[in-house]
Amino acid sequence: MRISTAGMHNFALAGMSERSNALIKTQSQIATGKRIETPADDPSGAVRALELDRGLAESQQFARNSDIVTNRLSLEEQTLADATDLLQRVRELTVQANNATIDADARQAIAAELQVRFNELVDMSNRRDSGGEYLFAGYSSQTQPFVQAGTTVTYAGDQGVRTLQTSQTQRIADGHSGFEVFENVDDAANPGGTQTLFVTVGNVLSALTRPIVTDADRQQLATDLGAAIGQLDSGLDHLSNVRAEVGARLTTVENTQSTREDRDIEMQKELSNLRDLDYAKAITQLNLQQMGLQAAQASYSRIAQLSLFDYLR
Amino acid sequence: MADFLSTGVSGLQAFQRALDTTSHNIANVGTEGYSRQRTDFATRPPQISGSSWVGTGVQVTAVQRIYDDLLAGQVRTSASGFERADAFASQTERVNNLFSNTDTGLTVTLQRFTNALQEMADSPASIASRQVMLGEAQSLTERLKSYDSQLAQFDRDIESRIRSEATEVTSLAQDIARLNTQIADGFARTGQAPNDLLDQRDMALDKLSTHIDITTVKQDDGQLNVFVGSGQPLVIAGSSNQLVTVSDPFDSARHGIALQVANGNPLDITSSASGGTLGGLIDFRTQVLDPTRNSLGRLSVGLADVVNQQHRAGIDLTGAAGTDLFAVGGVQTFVHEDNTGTGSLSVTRTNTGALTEGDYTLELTAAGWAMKRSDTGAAVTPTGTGTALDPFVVDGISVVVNGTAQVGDRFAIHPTRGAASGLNVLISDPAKLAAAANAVPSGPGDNRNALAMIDAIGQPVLDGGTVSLDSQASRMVGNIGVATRQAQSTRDAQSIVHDDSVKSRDSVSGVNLDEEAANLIRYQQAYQAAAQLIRVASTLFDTLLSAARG
Repeated sequence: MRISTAGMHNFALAGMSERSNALIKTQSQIATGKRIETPADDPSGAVRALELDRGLAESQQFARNSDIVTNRLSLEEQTLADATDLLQRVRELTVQANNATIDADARQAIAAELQVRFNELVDMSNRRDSGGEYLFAGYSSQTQPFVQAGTTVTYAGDQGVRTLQTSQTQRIADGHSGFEVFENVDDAANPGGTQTLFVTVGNVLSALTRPIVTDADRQQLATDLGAAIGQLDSGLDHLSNVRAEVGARLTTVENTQSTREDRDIEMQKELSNLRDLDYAKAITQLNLQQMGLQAAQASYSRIAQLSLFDYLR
Repeated sequence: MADFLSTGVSGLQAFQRALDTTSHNIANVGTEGYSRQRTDFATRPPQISGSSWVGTGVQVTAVQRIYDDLLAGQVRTSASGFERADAFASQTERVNNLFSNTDTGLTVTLQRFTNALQEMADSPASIASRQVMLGEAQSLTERLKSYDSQLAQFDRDIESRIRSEATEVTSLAQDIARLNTQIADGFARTGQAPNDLLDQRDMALDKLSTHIDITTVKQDDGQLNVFVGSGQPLVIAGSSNQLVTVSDPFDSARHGIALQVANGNPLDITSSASGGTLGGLIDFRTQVLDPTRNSLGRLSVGLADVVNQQHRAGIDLTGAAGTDLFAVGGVQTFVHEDNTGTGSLSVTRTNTGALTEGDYTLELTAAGWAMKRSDTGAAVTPTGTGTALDPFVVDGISVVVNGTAQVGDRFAIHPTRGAASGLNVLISDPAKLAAAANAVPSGPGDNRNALAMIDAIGQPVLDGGTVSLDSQASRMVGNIGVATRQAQSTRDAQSIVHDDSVKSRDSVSGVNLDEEAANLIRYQQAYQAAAQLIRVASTLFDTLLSAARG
């Protein structure tokens, strides 16, 4: 086939420009470190990468939610531990007071400490988290849940329990309502009924502050304190049950967290395989493309010099 | 003897002409669109001498342009095809690049919004966490709106490109008409076409075919008629028509192209102009730009619908019921400019799950109302009669015809196109966010409705409850990626076809300097030989004279 002089130059140029385009594309991939720079580079890969990006962002949020749940449950656990210690102390005091040899002064001293403990228990039930929200108010987290008048404590909260999302499929309660912790305690004397912790401790206090004059009084005190010990044991059982529940939740969160971390690593790996450049491959390709372009340039400059006119003298 | 001399002179003249042609070829080796020329020789009529015929030398019969109409036609067709594919691909690439940033992409922004809802669910009583959620709601709407406004900018860019393309086509058509006249003059004078003018006209035709698909018909006097679209005349002999932009009959803000013929209305050729840059731009607009904006719009409608519905179900920090969080742009309706009736449309979206990404036209035919998809042309059959009490309902929209339409009246409906641009966050007071459920117990610590909103966003709500917002967002990006890839490979294929056809044409018409050098040597030698003839003739003449002198 005939070839025109201009055509020969044009096609040589077109070939070189194609090669340098490919070279620039590889160079740009190396500069960004990305195999997929735009969706068109690999549409299905780009979509998968978007899903993974989204999954990772979501997972980050779940991690944050888990931290918050863990913090709040730990705070609750601390309060429950304090309440358990307190009830145990009250029980010790009750056992001490429930002794026929104890005199009025000693009883009064015990009653004085019990009053302090009682107030302490009310304080515990009104504890707040770092954000200023009451721990045991249910959804009414900005209203003080337990209101004290003498030895009578009333609950102003509700029975709502907030759940937070810790994985795509898991929502975990970040606490218990005050009703659940302090009020819904099995009544040892009345199976099926409940008695609040405040009533239990309040009963000990009022029994000890009653004047003891007659033998009947003494008898009544012994009966009351005996019953109170039963209620205190029920209260301690109750707290330990709630603590077990909190512990179980914390374990669940922890398990979810480690599953999530494994999944995150998987997703990151896949994302990296999908989107990140294989440098060794890219640099090899760059070298090949560079050689190709150099060869094209060299051969062009040789061929372009050939002309019959050179021989016309 | 005198014949001998004149035979020599005829050779001198012929080879002089051949050398002229060769030097013209050499001089034009760099001229774009130049076709090499060749000098054709023929023997002169022989003379009778006694009983035999004696040759009388050579004459130049023509200086021909080496040109193949078929190959040139192929170059034009392939140029139209390539330029269309190139314009289409480069525009699609712009959209592709728009969606290439993964850090600010739609799916990630959508997820950030969901994460902010989670933050609010974590601490529903906290004004700070509610503020974050409002901020992310704002970012999400801004992101969707900015995609839409950039696509709208592309649309405006295309409008102005179409305008300048039309001007260029008109000016090329004028060039061709002028060259037609000059060629006809030259042809009439010598019976031969002026080669260099033919080249100029061919080059103008080549250029024209990069802007728009053309067909040409050659006349006997060397003139050429050019047609565009589905056979509308752009150039007829020495006169040309103007290519102008005309507003779309439905939407006066959008323009198409039309041929302005003398004493007549412009003929709209927007839908029939297929090739060249113009064809590529118009195709991009209808095949990529509009569908992408519709897709964004549908996503916005889905987002607003899902979030608003759940938000209204909850109660805010003050205990009041939730209100809409997002506002979204309404359905666009258009009345055809030729309508004779007073009819207009009120269209509302009634079912997000049934919405498509298509546009619709509604026409009152003699047989009643007919509705079809504008993109596919497929007929759709709505229920209802189009009255306020019994509206047409189809594909998630409800259409009421107001006023009185006449037979032949047409309307266009874009259910989702304008949705993204109208996105807004309606709530600015963080306390007004309804994180709590409208149920007992309730309080500032209640996050149930926030969780329900998160659930709702993850639900498949589009396409009849099969596609979630988030997969719609990634699907949209995937579709653009696929469309771009296809456009790029079409462009690559067209580029090869075009290069091949140029190569074929140039192999016939292009100048080859080696060949010209060879011709130079050949004709130079022949010229020298002819000059020798003159010298020999002169010697013979001298010999004769001296013999006669005795």
